[in-house]
Amino acid sequence: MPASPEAVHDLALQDLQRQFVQEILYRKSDGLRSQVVANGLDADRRLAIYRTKARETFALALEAAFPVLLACMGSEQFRSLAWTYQRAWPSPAGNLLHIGARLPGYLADHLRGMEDEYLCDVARLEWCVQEALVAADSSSVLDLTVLAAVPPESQGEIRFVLHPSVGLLRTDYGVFALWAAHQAGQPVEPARQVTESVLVRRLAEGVQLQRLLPLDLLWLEAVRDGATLAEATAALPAGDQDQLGALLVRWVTAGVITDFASVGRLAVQEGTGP
Amino acid sequence: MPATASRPIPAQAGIGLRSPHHNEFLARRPNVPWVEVHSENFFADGGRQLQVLDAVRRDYGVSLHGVGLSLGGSDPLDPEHLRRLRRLVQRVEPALVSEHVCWGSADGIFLNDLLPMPYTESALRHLAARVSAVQEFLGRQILVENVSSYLEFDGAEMTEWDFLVQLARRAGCGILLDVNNIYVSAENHGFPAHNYLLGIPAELVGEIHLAGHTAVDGVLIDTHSAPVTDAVWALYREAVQLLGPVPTLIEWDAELPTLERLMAEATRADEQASVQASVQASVQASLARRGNGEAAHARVA
Repeated sequence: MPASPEAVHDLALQDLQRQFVQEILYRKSDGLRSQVVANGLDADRRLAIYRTKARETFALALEAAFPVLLACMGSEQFRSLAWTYQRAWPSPAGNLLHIGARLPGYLADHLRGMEDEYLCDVARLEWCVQEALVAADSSSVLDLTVLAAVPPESQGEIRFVLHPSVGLLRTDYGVFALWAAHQAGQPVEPARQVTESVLVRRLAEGVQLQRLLPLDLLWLEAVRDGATLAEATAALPAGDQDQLGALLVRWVTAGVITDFASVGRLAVQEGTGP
Repeated sequence: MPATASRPIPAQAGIGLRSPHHNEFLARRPNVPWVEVHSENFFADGGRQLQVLDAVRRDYGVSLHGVGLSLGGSDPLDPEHLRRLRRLVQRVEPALVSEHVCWGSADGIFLNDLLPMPYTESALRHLAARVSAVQEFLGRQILVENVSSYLEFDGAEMTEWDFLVQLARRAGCGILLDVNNIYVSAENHGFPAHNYLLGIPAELVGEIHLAGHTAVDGVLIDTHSAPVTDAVWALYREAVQLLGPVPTLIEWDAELPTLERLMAEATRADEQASVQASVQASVQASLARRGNGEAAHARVA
């Protein structure tokens, strides 16, 4: 990290910038207007230009991240949501990649139990898509012959590694169908109440979504959460544990499981994470 | 990970490469010497965007242009932002890296905008220390760009261009001179754009930006959503006359035109610079023939 330049900290600058931010987002500042040169245009109008720009930048970034939610809500309602959300959860960074992270929770706080509650799950699904888009790359392909070479007494301790872009979503509404309709350019209708699970992941051609069977979800969630093979298998219903082989082949072949770690073998570390 | 540096950037016009043009750009490989991208759009850990940039850098000069570091902010520099920027710089090995003379956050709240500095000695010291720290962290020089502004703070102790030049001298950085931003701010605040150009030493300028702006209720807004205006082209010709040939970028970020249209705007920038250079050479030759010893310093009206 660079040596701290805050030794030359400018308290007047800090106060000015704090007031500016408070004025733009919350219209709260004590002495800011008196520090703005009027020069033919009063301070309120000058500050309003910056407020409009800050709102517009934030809303456009949110629209890009949540196109299905935008289609469901309509532009006017979405813009209104964007502004109230921005004031509640302002951008925490100099890039806009993460500004939507809290939107699903924010919607849940406001829509739980209401007619539009399905929008929370639309937002959750779209945020999964966003995370998949920016996740690390992985070029590793799990070789089943290498896996088969693990001694039987050590196999229970194997920990599988999912592709970094994999997201697993449980929803109470049929948002997969809604998302698919939007992708196909069809009109979006409010999602009906139905329990479903969705796998989100990035392939070479883009982000792909698919519905998951309950058994697949249980097992992949356990793997995602770091369970050993023995623990992940134990998470399955007793009558389904003989499905392990099929599960393994299915998700290795699909590239969802990309690696494994076992006693004496470390998973290959890939990606370009910080 | 790329093994060689991206191509150098010549004193010709390049284009801002935005994601809606990525596929067409890679398919057509247009005849443009260099491109500039916004650094923050490539802060992801992986994915398509980075793959596109890897492919582009093999055949084109690349400039990384940051918009979110908040160099003039009073919050500490964001270590995560710096780490991601350094990782990108190491991956792309760009010919140019640039940021803005502005701030963008306070108390951890980011407005994701290019906000104006007060032009005071104290703010200059603060900013120069941070630019130096960033250059040290990245292990290379950066360029800093003047921004368009819609307000000025009371108590200015120097002009904007003096502030910019002093910053470059103290921090050892270069200047990315945005000619459209000079025009926009000059119109909004009532100072002569010509004076701004005269105040910038040629040796400090590493790049020029050109873009379109929009008039809203009597105020010029730097929207990057339109062609460069005639007035800004005129100011650009004056800049080329004063500074000499400089890598020049056409920025267009909103209401994005076709790639063809963007390329045409870059061609126009090259033509404007070329015309200015030939007029200047012609005048100098004429004066030299008359034995005027001051010919080399002649200024074309």
